[in-house]
Amino acid sequence: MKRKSFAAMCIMTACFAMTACGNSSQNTTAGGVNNESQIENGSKYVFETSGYSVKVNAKISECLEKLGEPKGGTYEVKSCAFDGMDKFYYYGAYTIQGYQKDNEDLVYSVTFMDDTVKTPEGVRLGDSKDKMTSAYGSSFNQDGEQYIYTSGNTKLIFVLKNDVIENIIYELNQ
Amino acid sequence: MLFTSLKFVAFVIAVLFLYYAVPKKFQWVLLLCANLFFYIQAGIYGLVFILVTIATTYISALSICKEQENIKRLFEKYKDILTKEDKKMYKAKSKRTQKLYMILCLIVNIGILAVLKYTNFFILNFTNMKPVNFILPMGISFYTFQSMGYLIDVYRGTVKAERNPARFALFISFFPQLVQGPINRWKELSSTLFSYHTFSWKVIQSGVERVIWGYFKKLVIADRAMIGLAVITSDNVKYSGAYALLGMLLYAVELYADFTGGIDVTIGIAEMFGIKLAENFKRPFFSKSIAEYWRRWHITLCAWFKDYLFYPISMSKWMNKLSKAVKKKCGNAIGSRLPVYISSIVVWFVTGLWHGASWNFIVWGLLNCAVMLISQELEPVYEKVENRLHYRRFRYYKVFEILRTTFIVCSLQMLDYYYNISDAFRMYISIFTTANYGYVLKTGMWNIGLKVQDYAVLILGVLIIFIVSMLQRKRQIRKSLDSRPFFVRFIIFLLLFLAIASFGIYGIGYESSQFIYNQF
Amino acid sequence: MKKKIIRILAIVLIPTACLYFLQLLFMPKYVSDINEGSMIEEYYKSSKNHEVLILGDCEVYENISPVTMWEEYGITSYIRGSSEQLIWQSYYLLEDTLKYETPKVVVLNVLAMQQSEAKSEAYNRMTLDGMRWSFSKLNSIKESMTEEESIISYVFPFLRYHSRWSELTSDDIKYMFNKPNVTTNGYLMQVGVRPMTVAPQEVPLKNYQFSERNYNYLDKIRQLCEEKGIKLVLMKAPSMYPYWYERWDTQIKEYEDKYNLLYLNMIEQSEKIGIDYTTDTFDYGQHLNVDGAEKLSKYLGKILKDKYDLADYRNNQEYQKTWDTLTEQYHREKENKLKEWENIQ
Repeated sequence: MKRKSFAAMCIMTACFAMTACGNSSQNTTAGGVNNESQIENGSKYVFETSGYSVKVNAKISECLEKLGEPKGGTYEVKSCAFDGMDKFYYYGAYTIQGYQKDNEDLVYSVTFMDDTVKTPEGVRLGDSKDKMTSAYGSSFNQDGEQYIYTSGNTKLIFVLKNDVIENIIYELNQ
Repeated sequence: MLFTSLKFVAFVIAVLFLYYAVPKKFQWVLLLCANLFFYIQAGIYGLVFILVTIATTYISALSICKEQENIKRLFEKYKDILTKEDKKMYKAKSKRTQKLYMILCLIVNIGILAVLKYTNFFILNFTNMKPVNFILPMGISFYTFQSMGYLIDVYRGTVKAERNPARFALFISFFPQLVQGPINRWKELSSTLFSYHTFSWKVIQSGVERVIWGYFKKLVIADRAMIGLAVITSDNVKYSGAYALLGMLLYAVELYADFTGGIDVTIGIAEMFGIKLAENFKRPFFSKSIAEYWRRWHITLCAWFKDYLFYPISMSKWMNKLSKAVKKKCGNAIGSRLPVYISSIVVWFVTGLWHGASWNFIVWGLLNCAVMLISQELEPVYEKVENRLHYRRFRYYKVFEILRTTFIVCSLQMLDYYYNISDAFRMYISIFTTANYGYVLKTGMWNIGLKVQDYAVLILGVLIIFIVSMLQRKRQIRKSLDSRPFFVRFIIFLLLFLAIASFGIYGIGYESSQFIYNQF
Repeated sequence: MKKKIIRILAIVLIPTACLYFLQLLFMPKYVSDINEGSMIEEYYKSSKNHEVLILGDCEVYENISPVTMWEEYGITSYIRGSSEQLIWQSYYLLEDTLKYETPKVVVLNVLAMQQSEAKSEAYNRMTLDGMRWSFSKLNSIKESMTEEESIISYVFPFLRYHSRWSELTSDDIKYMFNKPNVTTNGYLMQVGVRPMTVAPQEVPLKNYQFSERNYNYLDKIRQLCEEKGIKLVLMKAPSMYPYWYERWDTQIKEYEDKYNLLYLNMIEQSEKIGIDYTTDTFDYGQHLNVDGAEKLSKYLGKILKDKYDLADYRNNQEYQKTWDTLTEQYHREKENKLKEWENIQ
């Protein structure tokens, strides 16, 4: 018996909530689900780099195989009190955040770190709001400065400041 | 308000308290208020539908009754003047009017049920349109049937229409039975529903005991079996063979414990109010044939179908004509069977449809029908063999029959939880063809959300139900319990209560589930 | 009649008593494992005469050692920390603590400001179950509950924990009525070294603004402290993860300036404190191990002592006995845990 089962039960919730004494991936406003384009176990929003699609909920091991070890290193975060483990893979221009489910590391999110990467639709940090809407349309859910496009298991989030894209995140749609 | 929620328990206690506190002549009014509250809790939306059913049925029944009285009065008044032919003519005319009232009311109410429950079935099967989102009002299948039964009874003249709309509303909406039956008849229920009830510890105690027994079956057994079943049905590639057999057993246990448990709670609560509801089960798994099973399982529904669908079809004039015509053309054997066959098929088609608006339930109903008709046809063959071998005298033949019936029931039930018909058949066949029994026994069955302790509780629980059922064959177990000293009974039910509290599937640790029959 | 009364009493009392004992049995004991669940209730067994009260999440209960502050400066302190303690939970714990004592200084870790919603029932339980019943507890529950939770399951934890019937261990019987302390005045000691080799990076967030709700509770904490004449100190512990964003820091600094409080960003001062993230952390820089915690405690203790003129109780007989016991326990625990750690290595 490694852990009390009370913990075991909580692990699921704990790691799904991506908590490590409370980290940053909160504030996930449930965006409306785009019915027509909902793709089972997938999404039309997928980040691509070096010819590889980094899909949300994909196995991290596969990403590492295709993308190589992250040059900025990997950072492991243990949840307070429980067994859950989040991991950050720093690839320089983007960061992959992993979470654990059924003892397997899966992709939780991909966050852009600078403007050397762009989405497959050609949008990058520093672009205008117009560019975003011309690439993705206007069926987003807005939450403050966040513009959220949802498809299947992925939320593609743009954070805009003064109509300029400040942040781009692909995130698991829970 | 789920039956299994603390809120519901608190609600019942509060209503009980008030029920015995108010003057006796207001007791039924209080119950009506409680029903209203109960129904509003489920959403004002559903209230509209039940009110429509109550109103239309009340008015139609009353109109029919008035028509009947008018004609009676007419005959009485002019009994000297009216000739036989006149009487016949007036009677026929009146009957036509009555029929019109009845049919209009049936169309409205069965129509509501059909639209809400079966529109999507129709859309998905016969059109290219998108399914519509209807919310089913709570207990609509049950209260619609109960009110239509009443209407037909009034039409047939077996009961008198109720003049007080509030009293009628109480009959249709009595909250313990609203959600999952039993489907009661006015004749039986009305007397106990409206009579004065004096508080007695004995009545309360007896009701509480039955409620505890019901919750035990529901929370400890049914909902536990459900956990494993949910896993098994979630993936019918992975979970075939031995898993499918395990699923079949779990479902049998689950459905039985869930439904009989729910009815125990219902009847127990009614008992505390001094109201006697119809029994819905009589140890169904002790049946020796499918036909017998259906006389002992969900009794009130089957009786309803028999009285209000089977007989009207099989005894109708046109059926009689048809039978005669066929007899002439194809011989007596077919002609005489025709009414039974046609009405059986219709009844079982509808029974299937009543259980759910999808093909799997229809196939399930029709297969039940087929088994019954076939065994009926084979009866002479059995007789012949019996006359030669006298196998029925063999001691364990009865046990064999019971096991055979149980197996058939369980097999057919697979259609209930694999919604896809071909899946159901595939999984059924896999029980005999997939050789994963060793693996499932060793590892598989421990990975479907049930631990060894859960299996132990399940087996023990089923054993308790079995023993109780065995005892019930010989005597009325409740009565013999009554004759025991207070503390013996107290300890029995205390243990049951603690078992529910500890082993029951409720709270965040488990997902609490609704009674299965709520959705019908 | 007499018979009837006995029966009614039996019907009411016997099941209640049974449920009560079953509840004691089913409640998680948090002794051999997940110690974090024991911390809140342990406070009620303490001497309740502390000058410093420390509130917050794991960044306080794993990073600050009251015994070190006692040994160095004679400061009497207690940490009411719990896993993922949210800002309103800190407030209600403050309210709760003030029923028993009034400290001179309250230190509040500000990491929780960035989390505006309770996300996990398990964390809620560990913070709330241990509180004694009061309006503070009730309000804290109301504010914290996630959608799946209900108040009734806090009133009768049996309803929540009965599902543990199949997971009971000998601990559940052993600690049914009495539990040993797992912390020293709220400090949960961690030993061992897992060095930080990769520093957590500043991964951009969707939103940096602290929520209004959290500001409200921070205001409430500040006002309550003012009312009781308590000095409020805001602190950000020197934990490297969760990453402490510049924009968060600015918001706290603005608050500090606005209300003339003391805000200690210990990350900025980690060099001064002497924290070496290759030796002083047991989980790659997220929390300090006992060496790191002792360093931070010395540093924090000195600031508090100098700034708030805290008395040195080391020669006060009233305190000596309690603290001698605590100190002794602390060192014994440290020794044992270090041995254990070495065995694992």
